[in-house]
Amino acid sequence: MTTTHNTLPACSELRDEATRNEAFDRLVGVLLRPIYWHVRRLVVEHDEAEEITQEAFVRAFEQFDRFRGGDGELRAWVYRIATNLSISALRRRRRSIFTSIDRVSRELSDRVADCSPPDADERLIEFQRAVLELPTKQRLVFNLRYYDELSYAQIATATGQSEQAAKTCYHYAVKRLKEQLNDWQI
Amino acid sequence: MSTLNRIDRRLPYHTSDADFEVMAERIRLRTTARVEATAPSTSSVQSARRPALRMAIVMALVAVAIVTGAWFATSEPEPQPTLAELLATASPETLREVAATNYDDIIFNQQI
Repeated sequence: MTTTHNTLPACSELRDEATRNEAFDRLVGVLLRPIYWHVRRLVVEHDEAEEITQEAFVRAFEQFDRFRGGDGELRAWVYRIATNLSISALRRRRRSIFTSIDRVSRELSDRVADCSPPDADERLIEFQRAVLELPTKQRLVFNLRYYDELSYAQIATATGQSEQAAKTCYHYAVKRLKEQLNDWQI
Repeated sequence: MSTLNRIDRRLPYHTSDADFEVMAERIRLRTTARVEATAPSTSSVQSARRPALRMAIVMALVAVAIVTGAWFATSEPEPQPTLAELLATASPETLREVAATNYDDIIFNQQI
């Protein structure tokens, strides 16, 4: 197998102690930015996204022995670790156990402008706020499909639901966002 | 999707290349530290020591259990004094107190 710095390493390279470190560096090189942006879209704030991203890769490194999937599932598996860590971070932000993650995300939507540079495009800020208003499952699926262009099979692995459920979530998320975008005349 | 496509998949946030380099470096440091912490030279010694230590603890507990069991088995319970012996050795003062305390009972018993 020929590998470049733009392709994910093979699972066999990550399992082999002789090639493990180099392969893991390549994994980080390919996935660091997509994973960071995926996390950032969920938790909004840079510091928290940075911390979660690092933790996600360290966990992937530590827990790789437990990964039973093949090369095709590696990307989705790392996304799943990052997604779970992000959801846990959102849970920790709840004021009480009765507060939903959806509510936390709606509150985070008010932080989008503060966490953006002063010259940020207003439309992009409003769009992010609209995405954060989506229910958690729809938001996760929408982000993974729209921004990361993952297949529904990969989204199913990353979010722990069926492909059909992921398709349905995406359909409703897009419908809802379109309605909001039309309201805003974006 | 035409309306959504106008958003162009961009985000309003900005994170510099330097930030990503720092993140990659931190990940590298943390994973390297894990590898060194579980290096074969130390882990093999530790893994060899662990069963021996476990076995020694189990042996010590078994020995303590045997010794304790043997001690309880051999030691006889001390004989308790009978009521007559207690009354015989009690001081007249104690006997008077006991009689006063149980006076009602004695009356009651006599009535029977």
